[in-house]
Amino acid sequence: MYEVSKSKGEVREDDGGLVQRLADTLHGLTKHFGRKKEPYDPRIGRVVNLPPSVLAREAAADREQEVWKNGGMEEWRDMQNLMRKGVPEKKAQAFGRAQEMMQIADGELETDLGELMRLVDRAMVSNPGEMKQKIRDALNDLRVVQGRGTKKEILGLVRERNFNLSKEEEEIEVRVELGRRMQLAKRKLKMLVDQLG
Amino acid sequence: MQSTASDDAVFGQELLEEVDNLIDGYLVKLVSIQEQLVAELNQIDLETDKEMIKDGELLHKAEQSASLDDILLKP
Repeated sequence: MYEVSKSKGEVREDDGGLVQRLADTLHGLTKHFGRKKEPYDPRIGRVVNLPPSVLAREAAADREQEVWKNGGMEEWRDMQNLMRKGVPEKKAQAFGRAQEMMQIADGELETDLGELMRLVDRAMVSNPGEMKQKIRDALNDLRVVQGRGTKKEILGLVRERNFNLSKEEEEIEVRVELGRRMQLAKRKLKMLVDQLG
Repeated sequence: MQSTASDDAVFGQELLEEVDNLIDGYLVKLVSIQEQLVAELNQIDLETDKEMIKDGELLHKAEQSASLDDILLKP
């Protein structure tokens, strides 16, 4: 089922906005993992100039460092930095755990779709038909979308579009695009089933 | 035996329902993992900030009662 948003006139998928919610978590990740340190744009073949806000922030941090040093407080500052140093590691560990859970979910979906495919195959043997074959093909398209080859291809596209994403953001971008493609494959299957009445 | 149109319709509808459940279930899982991760990351920041504020307050108190060298040279 698809519904048209009256205010914006956009067609959106009736999946409770799940893909959008997944996309929204990207903002949360940017805050924690940031972007690649040196934004290199392969299209122009050089490092992109950092925006003025970033330069200003870095200059302010340098000045602050200088003030601390002059005040003889570098030891305290070092201690604070040491405390901060553990933070990226903790965050990387949290992301690693989440990544593991996402991979388990991928595996489960793969298994479930495989099982469904076998069910369709059995149904076709006992009760074959042209329409069943079409449905089987649509289901197979969905499995291909979920496959590893597609993930690799999407990663390439994501990198082409956003060259300075962190690896954590890339991972989620891939899954958001994957979610969109799955919805599309599902839509094709639905159209086919609708034809059957 | 060849299937009839009505057989195919029932078969297709059941399959679609199954696929719907699988994919939505998968996306729900991903969203929940991601939202939980972001909450966890925010918590890490919050706890670090708290620790640093606590340290800052301790230092400020010490500064008021002793000279800076005393604080820094203390083992």
